[in-house]
Amino acid sequence: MEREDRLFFAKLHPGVLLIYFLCVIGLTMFSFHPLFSLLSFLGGLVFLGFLLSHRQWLRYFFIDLLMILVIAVTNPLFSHYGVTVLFYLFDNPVTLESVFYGLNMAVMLVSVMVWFTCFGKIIAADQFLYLCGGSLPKTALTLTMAMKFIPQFQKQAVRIANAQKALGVYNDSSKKDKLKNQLRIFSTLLTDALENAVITAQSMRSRGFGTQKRSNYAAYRWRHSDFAFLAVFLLVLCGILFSLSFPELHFSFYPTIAKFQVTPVAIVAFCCFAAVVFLPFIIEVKGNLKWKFLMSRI
Amino acid sequence: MKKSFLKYLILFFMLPLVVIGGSYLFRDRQFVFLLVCVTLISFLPFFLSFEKRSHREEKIVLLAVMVALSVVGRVLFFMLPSFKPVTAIVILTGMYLGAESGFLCGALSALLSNFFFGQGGFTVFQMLGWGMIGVFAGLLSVILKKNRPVLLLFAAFSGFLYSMIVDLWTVISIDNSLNLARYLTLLAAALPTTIIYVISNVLFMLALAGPIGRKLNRVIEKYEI
Repeated sequence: MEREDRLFFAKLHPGVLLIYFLCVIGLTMFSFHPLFSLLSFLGGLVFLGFLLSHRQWLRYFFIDLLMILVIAVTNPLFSHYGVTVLFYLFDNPVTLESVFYGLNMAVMLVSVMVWFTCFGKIIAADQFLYLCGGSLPKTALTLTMAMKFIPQFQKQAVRIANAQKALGVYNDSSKKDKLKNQLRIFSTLLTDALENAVITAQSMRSRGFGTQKRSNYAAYRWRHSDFAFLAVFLLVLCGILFSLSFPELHFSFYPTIAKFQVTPVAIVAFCCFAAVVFLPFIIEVKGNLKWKFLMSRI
Repeated sequence: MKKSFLKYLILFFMLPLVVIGGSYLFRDRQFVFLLVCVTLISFLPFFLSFEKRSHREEKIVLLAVMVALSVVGRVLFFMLPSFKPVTAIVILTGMYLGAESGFLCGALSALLSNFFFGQGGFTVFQMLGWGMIGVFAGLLSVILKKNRPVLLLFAAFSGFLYSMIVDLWTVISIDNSLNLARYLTLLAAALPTTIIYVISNVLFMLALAGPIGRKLNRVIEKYEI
Protein backbone atom coordinates (compact mmCIF):
# COMPACT_ATOMS: atom_id res chain seq x y z
CA MET A 1 0.00 0.00 0.00
CA GLU A 2 2.84 2.37 0.87
CA ARG A 3 3.82 4.05 -2.36
CA GLU A 4 7.36 3.82 -3.64
CA ASP A 5 8.07 7.45 -4.55
CA ARG A 6 11.83 7.59 -4.36
CA LEU A 7 12.08 6.05 -7.83
CA PHE A 8 12.73 8.28 -10.82
CA PHE A 9 10.02 6.49 -12.80
CA ALA A 10 7.44 7.06 -10.05
CA LYS A 11 7.95 10.83 -10.30
CA LEU A 12 6.04 10.91 -13.57
CA HIS A 13 2.43 12.10 -13.56
CA PRO A 14 0.08 9.36 -12.25
CA GLY A 15 -1.99 9.60 -15.43
CA VAL A 16 1.05 8.75 -17.52
CA LEU A 17 1.94 5.90 -15.18
CA LEU A 18 -1.60 4.47 -15.30
CA ILE A 19 -1.65 4.57 -19.12
CA TYR A 20 1.77 2.95 -19.23
CA PHE A 21 0.90 0.09 -16.88
CA LEU A 22 -2.49 -0.62 -18.44
CA CYS A 23 -0.96 -0.73 -21.94
CA VAL A 24 1.94 -2.97 -20.92
CA ILE A 25 -0.34 -5.34 -19.00
CA GLY A 26 -2.84 -5.35 -21.88
CA LEU A 27 -0.21 -6.01 -24.55
CA THR A 28 1.30 -8.80 -22.48
CA MET A 29 -2.04 -10.39 -21.74
CA PHE A 30 -3.58 -10.17 -25.18
CA SER A 31 -0.72 -10.68 -27.62
CA PHE A 32 0.30 -14.27 -27.42
CA HIS A 33 3.69 -14.20 -29.12
CA PRO A 34 6.36 -16.13 -27.14
CA LEU A 35 8.96 -13.39 -27.60
CA PHE A 36 6.51 -10.76 -26.33
CA SER A 37 5.82 -12.85 -23.23
CA LEU A 38 9.52 -13.37 -22.58
CA LEU A 39 10.44 -9.70 -23.11
CA SER A 40 7.64 -8.58 -20.86
CA PHE A 41 8.69 -11.04 -18.17
CA LEU A 42 12.32 -9.85 -18.27
CA GLY A 43 11.37 -6.17 -18.41
CA GLY A 44 9.04 -6.47 -15.44
CA LEU A 45 11.51 -8.53 -13.46
CA VAL A 46 14.46 -6.13 -13.86
CA PHE A 47 12.26 -3.19 -12.91
CA LEU A 48 10.96 -5.08 -9.89
CA GLY A 49 14.61 -5.27 -8.80
CA PHE A 50 14.37 -1.57 -7.90
CA LEU A 51 11.19 -2.09 -5.92
CA LEU A 52 12.14 -5.11 -3.78
CA SER A 53 15.13 -5.93 -1.63
CA HIS A 54 17.57 -8.51 -3.08
CA ARG A 55 16.20 -11.27 -0.90
CA GLN A 56 12.57 -10.49 -1.68
CA TRP A 57 13.41 -10.30 -5.36
CA LEU A 58 15.17 -13.68 -5.37
CA ARG A 59 12.23 -15.26 -3.55
CA TYR A 60 9.83 -13.69 -6.02
CA PHE A 61 11.95 -14.95 -8.91
CA PHE A 62 11.97 -18.55 -7.66
CA ILE A 63 8.22 -18.52 -7.01
CA ASP A 64 7.73 -17.30 -10.59
CA LEU A 65 9.91 -20.08 -12.00
CA LEU A 66 8.03 -22.66 -9.94
CA MET A 67 4.69 -21.35 -11.18
CA ILE A 68 5.87 -21.46 -14.79
CA LEU A 69 6.99 -25.06 -14.32
CA VAL A 70 3.73 -26.14 -12.69
CA ILE A 71 1.52 -24.55 -15.35
CA ALA A 72 3.63 -25.89 -18.22
CA VAL A 73 3.57 -29.43 -16.81
CA THR A 74 -0.15 -29.48 -16.03
CA ASN A 75 -1.37 -27.92 -19.30
CA PRO A 76 -1.16 -31.16 -21.35
CA LEU A 77 -3.54 -32.78 -18.88
CA PHE A 78 -6.27 -30.34 -19.90
CA SER A 79 -5.68 -29.69 -23.57
CA HIS A 80 -5.03 -32.47 -26.03
CA TYR A 81 -4.67 -30.46 -29.22
CA GLY A 82 -1.52 -30.79 -31.29
CA VAL A 83 -0.21 -33.55 -33.54
CA THR A 84 3.12 -34.55 -31.96
CA VAL A 85 2.12 -37.09 -29.35
CA LEU A 86 4.85 -37.67 -26.76
CA PHE A 87 3.11 -40.38 -24.75
CA TYR A 88 -0.29 -41.39 -23.44
CA LEU A 89 -1.40 -40.67 -19.90
CA PHE A 90 -4.65 -42.28 -18.70
CA ASP A 91 -5.62 -42.88 -22.35
CA ASN A 92 -5.13 -39.18 -23.14
CA PRO A 93 -2.42 -37.97 -25.47
CA VAL A 94 0.25 -35.66 -24.08
CA THR A 95 1.42 -33.50 -26.97
CA LEU A 96 4.56 -31.46 -27.48
CA GLU A 97 2.50 -28.51 -28.73
CA SER A 98 0.44 -28.46 -25.58
CA VAL A 99 3.61 -28.40 -23.41
CA PHE A 100 4.94 -25.40 -25.33
CA TYR A 101 1.56 -23.69 -25.27
CA GLY A 102 1.54 -24.15 -21.49
CA LEU A 103 5.06 -22.79 -21.21
CA ASN A 104 4.23 -19.66 -23.20
CA MET A 105 1.01 -19.14 -21.30
CA ALA A 106 2.79 -19.58 -17.97
CA VAL A 107 5.44 -16.98 -18.85
CA MET A 108 2.65 -14.64 -19.96
CA LEU A 109 0.58 -15.12 -16.79
CA VAL A 110 3.60 -14.67 -14.53
CA SER A 111 4.72 -11.51 -16.34
CA VAL A 112 1.22 -10.07 -15.96
CA MET A 113 1.54 -10.83 -12.24
CA VAL A 114 4.96 -9.16 -12.09
CA TRP A 115 3.62 -6.04 -13.80
CA PHE A 116 0.64 -5.90 -11.46
CA THR A 117 3.07 -6.06 -8.53
CA CYS A 118 4.98 -3.09 -9.98
CA PHE A 119 1.64 -1.31 -10.55
CA GLY A 120 0.68 -1.83 -6.90
CA LYS A 121 4.02 -0.45 -5.70
CA ILE A 122 3.98 2.60 -7.97
CA ILE A 123 0.31 3.61 -8.05
CA ALA A 124 -1.45 3.81 -4.69
CA ALA A 125 -5.19 4.12 -4.18
CA ASP A 126 -5.09 7.89 -3.64
CA GLN A 127 -3.49 8.52 -7.03
CA PHE A 128 -6.03 6.30 -8.69
CA LEU A 129 -8.75 8.37 -7.02
CA TYR A 130 -7.10 11.59 -8.11
CA LEU A 131 -7.32 10.29 -11.68
CA CYS A 132 -11.00 9.25 -11.50
CA GLY A 133 -11.92 12.51 -9.77
CA GLY A 134 -12.19 14.33 -13.10
CA SER A 135 -14.57 12.04 -14.97
CA LEU A 136 -16.34 10.19 -12.14
CA PRO A 137 -16.44 12.71 -9.28
CA LYS A 138 -19.15 11.04 -7.20
CA THR A 139 -17.60 7.59 -7.45
CA ALA A 140 -14.23 9.06 -6.52
CA LEU A 141 -15.81 10.85 -3.57
CA THR A 142 -17.43 7.62 -2.37
CA LEU A 143 -14.13 5.77 -2.64
CA THR A 144 -12.23 8.58 -0.94
CA MET A 145 -14.66 8.58 1.96
CA ALA A 146 -14.47 4.79 2.18
CA MET A 147 -10.68 5.05 2.26
CA LYS A 148 -10.86 7.55 5.07
CA PHE A 149 -13.27 5.27 6.96
CA ILE A 150 -11.02 2.19 6.72
CA PRO A 151 -8.26 3.26 9.18
CA GLN A 152 -10.90 5.04 11.27
CA PHE A 153 -12.95 1.84 11.60
CA GLN A 154 -9.85 -0.21 12.35
CA LYS A 155 -8.93 2.10 15.20
CA GLN A 156 -12.53 2.16 16.39
CA ALA A 157 -12.64 -1.66 16.30
CA VAL A 158 -9.60 -1.78 18.60
CA ARG A 159 -11.25 0.72 20.94
CA ILE A 160 -14.48 -1.28 21.03
CA ALA A 161 -12.54 -4.50 21.66
CA ASN A 162 -10.68 -2.88 24.56
CA ALA A 163 -13.91 -1.55 26.01
CA GLN A 164 -15.50 -4.99 25.83
CA LYS A 165 -12.43 -6.57 27.42
CA ALA A 166 -12.68 -4.08 30.26
CA LEU A 167 -16.38 -4.88 30.65
CA GLY A 168 -15.52 -8.56 30.94
CA VAL A 169 -17.46 -9.75 27.88
CA TYR A 170 -14.31 -10.90 26.15
CA ASN A 171 -13.55 -14.59 25.90
CA ASP A 172 -11.16 -16.23 23.46
CA SER A 173 -10.94 -19.78 24.75
CA SER A 174 -12.40 -21.38 21.61
CA LYS A 175 -12.75 -20.55 17.95
CA LYS A 176 -16.49 -20.10 18.30
CA ASP A 177 -16.05 -17.52 21.06
CA LYS A 178 -13.45 -15.70 19.02
CA LEU A 179 -15.87 -15.48 16.14
CA LYS A 180 -18.67 -14.27 18.42
CA ASN A 181 -16.37 -11.57 19.77
CA GLN A 182 -15.51 -10.37 16.30
CA LEU A 183 -19.16 -10.27 15.34
CA ARG A 184 -20.11 -8.30 18.44
CA ILE A 185 -17.35 -5.79 17.71
CA PHE A 186 -18.48 -5.58 14.10
CA SER A 187 -22.08 -4.90 15.09
CA THR A 188 -21.09 -2.15 17.53
CA LEU A 189 -18.81 -0.64 14.92
CA LEU A 190 -21.69 -0.55 12.47
CA THR A 191 -24.07 1.36 14.76
CA ASP A 192 -21.38 3.90 15.44
CA ALA A 193 -20.46 4.18 11.74
CA LEU A 194 -24.03 4.71 10.55
CA GLU A 195 -24.71 7.44 13.10
CA ASN A 196 -21.49 9.19 12.10
CA ALA A 197 -22.36 8.81 8.42
CA VAL A 198 -25.59 10.72 8.86
CA ILE A 199 -23.81 13.49 10.75
CA THR A 200 -21.20 13.70 7.97
CA ALA A 201 -23.95 13.89 5.35
CA GLN A 202 -25.77 16.66 7.20
CA SER A 203 -22.53 18.55 7.50
CA MET A 204 -21.93 18.11 3.77
CA ARG A 205 -25.37 19.44 2.96
CA SER A 206 -25.01 22.45 5.22
CA ARG A 207 -21.82 23.30 3.36
CA GLY A 208 -23.57 23.24 0.02
CA PHE A 209 -22.65 19.84 -1.40
CA GLY A 210 -24.03 19.38 -4.90
CA THR A 211 -24.84 23.02 -5.52
CA GLN A 212 -21.85 23.40 -7.77
CA LYS A 213 -19.39 21.28 -9.64
CA ARG A 214 -16.79 19.84 -7.30
CA SER A 215 -13.36 21.30 -7.72
CA ASN A 216 -10.44 19.07 -6.93
CA TYR A 217 -7.07 19.68 -5.49
CA ALA A 218 -4.48 18.93 -8.16
CA ALA A 219 -1.40 17.76 -6.36
CA TYR A 220 0.23 16.59 -9.56
CA ARG A 221 1.35 18.87 -12.34
CA TRP A 222 2.07 17.96 -15.92
CA ARG A 223 5.74 18.57 -16.54
CA HIS A 224 7.72 18.58 -19.76
CA SER A 225 9.13 15.17 -18.93
CA ASP A 226 5.57 13.77 -18.67
CA PHE A 227 4.66 15.05 -22.12
CA ALA A 228 7.92 13.78 -23.56
CA PHE A 229 7.47 10.34 -22.03
CA LEU A 230 3.84 10.11 -23.16
CA ALA A 231 4.66 11.23 -26.71
CA VAL A 232 7.45 8.70 -27.13
CA PHE A 233 5.39 5.96 -25.50
CA LEU A 234 2.30 6.56 -27.63
CA LEU A 235 4.39 6.64 -30.79
CA VAL A 236 5.99 3.30 -29.98
CA LEU A 237 2.60 1.92 -28.93
CA CYS A 238 1.09 2.87 -32.28
CA GLY A 239 3.99 1.09 -33.97
CA ILE A 240 3.28 -2.08 -31.99
CA LEU A 241 -0.47 -1.95 -32.62
CA PHE A 242 0.12 -1.36 -36.31
CA SER A 243 2.53 -4.27 -36.58
CA LEU A 244 0.04 -6.51 -34.76
CA SER A 245 -2.16 -6.28 -37.84
CA PHE A 246 0.46 -8.29 -39.77
CA PRO A 247 0.30 -12.08 -39.70
CA GLU A 248 3.98 -12.46 -38.66
CA LEU A 249 3.12 -11.34 -35.14
CA HIS A 250 0.60 -14.11 -34.64
CA PHE A 251 2.11 -17.29 -33.42
CA SER A 252 0.02 -20.44 -33.38
CA PHE A 253 0.78 -23.56 -31.36
CA TYR A 254 -1.98 -25.82 -32.65
CA PRO A 255 -2.04 -28.09 -34.55
CA THR A 256 1.73 -27.69 -35.06
CA ILE A 257 4.03 -25.07 -33.61
CA ALA A 258 4.39 -22.27 -36.14
CA LYS A 259 7.74 -21.33 -37.60
CA PHE A 260 9.32 -18.35 -35.87
CA GLN A 261 9.11 -15.68 -38.56
CA VAL A 262 11.70 -12.92 -38.62
CA THR A 263 10.56 -10.27 -41.09
CA PRO A 264 11.30 -6.52 -41.01
CA VAL A 265 7.87 -5.82 -39.49
CA ALA A 266 8.42 -8.43 -36.79
CA ILE A 267 11.87 -7.04 -35.94
CA VAL A 268 10.47 -3.52 -35.63
CA ALA A 269 7.64 -4.81 -33.42
CA PHE A 270 10.04 -6.74 -31.16
CA CYS A 271 12.34 -3.72 -30.80
CA CYS A 272 9.39 -1.44 -30.02
CA PHE A 273 7.99 -3.84 -27.45
CA ALA A 274 11.41 -4.31 -25.85
CA ALA A 275 11.76 -0.52 -25.66
CA VAL A 276 8.38 -0.26 -23.96
CA VAL A 277 8.94 -2.92 -21.32
CA PHE A 278 12.51 -1.85 -20.51
CA LEU A 279 11.61 1.85 -20.39
CA PRO A 280 11.16 2.05 -16.57
CA PHE A 281 14.41 0.14 -16.05
CA ILE A 282 16.28 2.46 -18.41
CA ILE A 283 14.85 5.56 -16.72
CA GLU A 284 15.94 4.21 -13.34
CA VAL A 285 19.47 3.36 -14.48
CA LYS A 286 19.85 6.68 -16.26
CA GLY A 287 18.61 8.58 -13.21
CA ASN A 288 20.95 6.72 -10.88
CA LEU A 289 23.96 7.29 -13.15
CA LYS A 290 23.18 10.97 -13.42
CA TRP A 291 22.79 11.20 -9.65
CA LYS A 292 26.14 9.48 -9.07
CA PHE A 293 27.83 11.68 -11.66
CA LEU A 294 26.47 14.86 -10.08
CA MET A 295 27.43 13.65 -6.60
CA SER A 296 30.98 12.90 -7.77
CA ARG A 297 31.40 16.50 -8.89
CA ILE A 298 30.56 18.02 -5.53
CA MET B 1 -26.59 18.53 -22.78
CA LYS B 2 -23.98 18.41 -25.50
CA LYS B 3 -21.51 16.72 -23.22
CA SER B 4 -23.90 13.99 -22.11
CA PHE B 5 -24.87 13.36 -25.72
CA LEU B 6 -21.19 12.87 -26.54
CA LYS B 7 -20.92 10.47 -23.62
CA TYR B 8 -23.68 8.24 -24.97
CA LEU B 9 -22.28 8.46 -28.48
CA ILE B 10 -18.90 7.26 -27.19
CA LEU B 11 -20.59 4.50 -25.22
CA PHE B 12 -22.59 3.48 -28.28
CA PHE B 13 -19.62 3.30 -30.62
CA MET B 14 -17.10 2.05 -28.10
CA LEU B 15 -18.49 -1.46 -27.88
CA PRO B 16 -18.42 -2.34 -31.60
CA LEU B 17 -15.12 -0.50 -32.08
CA VAL B 18 -13.42 -2.38 -29.27
CA VAL B 19 -14.92 -5.69 -30.38
CA ILE B 20 -13.88 -5.34 -34.03
CA GLY B 21 -10.51 -3.64 -33.52
CA GLY B 22 -9.46 -5.78 -30.58
CA SER B 23 -10.39 -9.09 -32.11
CA TYR B 24 -8.43 -8.17 -35.23
CA LEU B 25 -5.26 -6.98 -33.49
CA PHE B 26 -5.22 -9.57 -30.73
CA ARG B 27 -6.25 -12.51 -32.91
CA ASP B 28 -4.65 -15.17 -30.71
CA ARG B 29 -6.29 -14.01 -27.51
CA GLN B 30 -9.43 -12.34 -28.82
CA PHE B 31 -11.77 -14.13 -26.45
CA VAL B 32 -9.85 -13.00 -23.37
CA PHE B 33 -9.61 -9.46 -24.71
CA LEU B 34 -13.31 -9.27 -25.45
CA LEU B 35 -14.23 -10.73 -22.08
CA VAL B 36 -12.24 -8.07 -20.21
CA CYS B 37 -13.37 -5.17 -22.41
CA VAL B 38 -17.05 -6.07 -22.54
CA THR B 39 -17.10 -6.60 -18.78
CA LEU B 40 -15.46 -3.23 -18.14
CA ILE B 41 -17.78 -1.45 -20.59
CA SER B 42 -20.80 -3.10 -18.95
CA PHE B 43 -19.81 -1.39 -15.68
CA LEU B 44 -19.99 2.04 -17.29
CA PRO B 45 -23.79 2.53 -17.31
CA PHE B 46 -23.92 1.85 -13.56
CA PHE B 47 -21.19 4.37 -12.79
CA LEU B 48 -22.54 6.97 -15.22
CA SER B 49 -26.08 6.77 -13.88
CA PHE B 50 -24.74 7.06 -10.34
CA GLU B 51 -22.87 10.20 -11.39
CA LYS B 52 -25.86 11.69 -13.15
CA ARG B 53 -28.67 11.13 -10.71
CA SER B 54 -28.96 13.50 -7.80
CA HIS B 55 -28.73 11.61 -4.55
CA ARG B 56 -29.24 12.66 -0.99
CA GLU B 57 -25.87 13.14 0.65
CA GLU B 58 -26.78 10.44 3.17
CA LYS B 59 -26.94 7.82 0.45
CA ILE B 60 -23.41 8.55 -0.76
CA VAL B 61 -21.99 8.51 2.76
CA LEU B 62 -23.88 5.33 3.66
CA LEU B 63 -22.54 3.68 0.53
CA ALA B 64 -19.03 4.74 1.51
CA VAL B 65 -19.60 3.28 4.98
CA MET B 66 -20.75 -0.05 3.55
CA VAL B 67 -17.75 -0.21 1.18
CA ALA B 68 -15.39 0.59 4.05
CA LEU B 69 -17.09 -1.99 6.28
CA SER B 70 -16.68 -4.75 3.74
CA VAL B 71 -13.00 -3.86 3.23
CA VAL B 72 -12.42 -3.71 6.98
CA GLY B 73 -14.32 -7.00 7.29
CA ARG B 74 -11.91 -8.55 4.82
CA VAL B 75 -9.02 -7.31 6.98
CA LEU B 76 -10.65 -8.05 10.36
CA PHE B 77 -11.14 -11.74 9.58
CA PHE B 78 -7.64 -12.18 8.20
CA MET B 79 -7.01 -15.18 10.45
CA LEU B 80 -9.76 -17.16 8.72
CA PRO B 81 -8.94 -17.33 4.98
CA SER B 82 -11.92 -17.00 2.58
CA PHE B 83 -14.20 -16.51 5.60
CA LYS B 84 -15.24 -12.93 4.84
CA PRO B 85 -18.34 -10.80 5.44
CA VAL B 86 -18.03 -8.96 2.09
CA THR B 87 -20.80 -10.83 0.27
CA ALA B 88 -23.22 -10.49 3.18
CA ILE B 89 -22.60 -6.75 3.38
CA VAL B 90 -23.01 -6.35 -0.38
CA ILE B 91 -26.32 -8.24 -0.29
CA LEU B 92 -27.61 -6.13 2.60
CA THR B 93 -26.56 -2.92 0.81
CA GLY B 94 -28.41 -4.03 -2.32
CA MET B 95 -31.50 -4.90 -0.29
CA TYR B 96 -31.75 -1.67 1.67
CA LEU B 97 -30.14 0.95 -0.58
CA GLY B 98 -31.25 -0.41 -3.98
CA ALA B 99 -29.80 -2.37 -6.88
CA GLU B 100 -27.55 0.45 -8.10
CA SER B 101 -26.00 0.93 -4.67
CA GLY B 102 -25.64 -2.85 -4.37
CA PHE B 103 -23.65 -2.96 -7.58
CA LEU B 104 -21.48 -0.02 -6.57
CA CYS B 105 -20.86 -1.46 -3.11
CA GLY B 106 -19.78 -4.81 -4.59
CA ALA B 107 -17.65 -3.39 -7.38
CA LEU B 108 -15.99 -0.67 -5.31
CA SER B 109 -15.28 -3.06 -2.40
CA ALA B 110 -13.45 -5.39 -4.78
CA LEU B 111 -11.51 -2.53 -6.38
CA LEU B 112 -10.56 -0.84 -3.12
CA SER B 113 -9.68 -3.94 -1.11
CA ASN B 114 -7.41 -5.16 -3.90
CA PHE B 115 -5.29 -2.06 -3.41
CA PHE B 116 -4.45 -3.73 -0.07
CA PHE B 117 -4.48 -7.38 -1.16
CA GLY B 118 -2.96 -6.93 -4.63
CA GLN B 119 -4.55 -6.13 -7.99
CA GLY B 120 -4.75 -8.49 -10.92
CA GLY B 121 -6.85 -9.36 -13.95
CA PHE B 122 -9.19 -11.06 -11.49
CA THR B 123 -10.09 -7.65 -9.96
CA VAL B 124 -12.44 -7.04 -12.91
CA PHE B 125 -14.23 -10.32 -12.28
CA GLN B 126 -14.41 -9.88 -8.54
CA MET B 127 -16.03 -6.54 -9.31
CA LEU B 128 -18.44 -8.29 -11.67
CA GLY B 129 -19.20 -11.09 -9.20
CA TRP B 130 -19.87 -8.93 -6.17
CA GLY B 131 -21.56 -6.26 -8.30
CA MET B 132 -23.96 -8.81 -9.78
CA ILE B 133 -24.76 -10.19 -6.32
CA GLY B 134 -25.57 -6.63 -5.20
CA VAL B 135 -27.81 -6.04 -8.22
CA PHE B 136 -29.71 -9.29 -7.70
CA ALA B 137 -30.14 -8.49 -4.01
CA GLY B 138 -31.55 -5.09 -4.95
CA LEU B 139 -33.97 -6.55 -7.48
CA LEU B 140 -35.19 -9.24 -5.09
CA SER B 141 -35.24 -6.94 -2.08
CA VAL B 142 -38.98 -7.28 -1.42
CA ILE B 143 -38.79 -11.07 -1.09
CA LEU B 144 -35.44 -11.07 0.69
CA LYS B 145 -36.57 -8.60 3.33
CA LYS B 146 -39.70 -10.57 4.16
CA ASN B 147 -38.43 -14.10 4.04
CA ARG B 148 -35.40 -15.02 6.15
CA PRO B 149 -34.86 -18.59 4.78
CA VAL B 150 -34.90 -17.25 1.18
CA LEU B 151 -32.32 -14.65 2.20
CA LEU B 152 -30.05 -17.34 3.62
CA LEU B 153 -30.52 -19.44 0.49
CA PHE B 154 -29.66 -16.42 -1.65
CA ALA B 155 -26.51 -15.84 0.43
CA ALA B 156 -25.48 -19.47 -0.04
CA PHE B 157 -26.16 -19.28 -3.78
CA SER B 158 -24.07 -16.08 -3.98
CA GLY B 159 -21.07 -18.03 -2.69
CA PHE B 160 -21.36 -20.45 -5.62
CA LEU B 161 -22.00 -17.65 -8.11
CA TYR B 162 -18.95 -15.71 -6.98
CA SER B 163 -16.71 -18.76 -7.16
CA MET B 164 -18.01 -19.67 -10.61
CA ILE B 165 -17.48 -16.19 -12.04
CA VAL B 166 -13.93 -15.81 -10.76
CA ASP B 167 -12.97 -19.31 -11.94
CA LEU B 168 -14.49 -18.54 -15.32
CA TRP B 169 -11.87 -15.83 -15.69
CA THR B 170 -9.08 -18.19 -14.64
CA VAL B 171 -10.05 -20.73 -17.31
CA ILE B 172 -10.61 -18.25 -20.12
CA SER B 173 -7.40 -16.36 -19.34
CA ILE B 174 -5.50 -19.65 -19.68
CA ASP B 175 -7.21 -21.31 -22.63
CA ASN B 176 -8.72 -18.37 -24.54
CA SER B 177 -11.88 -20.49 -24.63
CA LEU B 178 -14.13 -22.20 -22.15
CA ASN B 179 -12.17 -25.41 -21.64
CA LEU B 180 -14.81 -27.40 -19.82
CA ALA B 181 -12.39 -30.03 -18.48
CA ARG B 182 -10.20 -27.37 -16.87
CA TYR B 183 -13.20 -25.40 -15.62
CA LEU B 184 -14.70 -28.43 -13.89
CA THR B 185 -11.31 -29.40 -12.44
CA LEU B 186 -10.81 -25.89 -11.11
CA LEU B 187 -14.31 -25.80 -9.66
CA ALA B 188 -13.68 -29.15 -7.99
CA ALA B 189 -10.29 -27.99 -6.69
CA ALA B 190 -11.88 -24.80 -5.38
CA LEU B 191 -14.76 -26.72 -3.78
CA PRO B 192 -13.38 -26.48 -0.21
CA THR B 193 -12.99 -22.70 -0.64
CA THR B 194 -16.44 -22.44 -2.21
CA ILE B 195 -17.92 -24.35 0.72
CA ILE B 196 -16.20 -21.92 3.11
CA TYR B 197 -17.69 -19.05 1.07
CA VAL B 198 -21.15 -20.56 1.32
CA ILE B 199 -20.88 -21.30 5.05
CA SER B 200 -19.41 -17.89 5.82
CA ASN B 201 -22.07 -16.12 3.75
CA VAL B 202 -24.84 -17.94 5.57
CA LEU B 203 -23.28 -17.42 9.00
CA PHE B 204 -22.59 -13.74 8.39
CA MET B 205 -26.09 -13.32 7.02
CA LEU B 206 -27.54 -14.98 10.14
CA ALA B 207 -25.43 -12.75 12.36
CA LEU B 208 -25.65 -9.49 10.40
CA ALA B 209 -29.06 -9.51 8.69
CA GLY B 210 -30.80 -8.62 11.95
CA PRO B 211 -28.53 -5.86 13.27
CA ILE B 212 -27.48 -4.32 9.92
CA GLY B 213 -31.02 -4.54 8.57
CA ARG B 214 -32.52 -2.91 11.65
CA LYS B 215 -29.89 -0.20 11.82
CA LEU B 216 -30.01 0.61 8.11
CA ASN B 217 -33.79 0.60 8.17
CA ARG B 218 -33.84 2.93 11.12
CA VAL B 219 -31.47 5.40 9.49
CA ILE B 220 -33.31 5.20 6.16
CA GLU B 221 -36.70 5.81 7.74
CA LYS B 222 -35.51 8.47 10.16
CA TYR B 223 -33.76 10.55 7.53
CA GLU B 224 -36.00 9.55 4.58
CA ILE B 225 -33.17 8.42 2.32
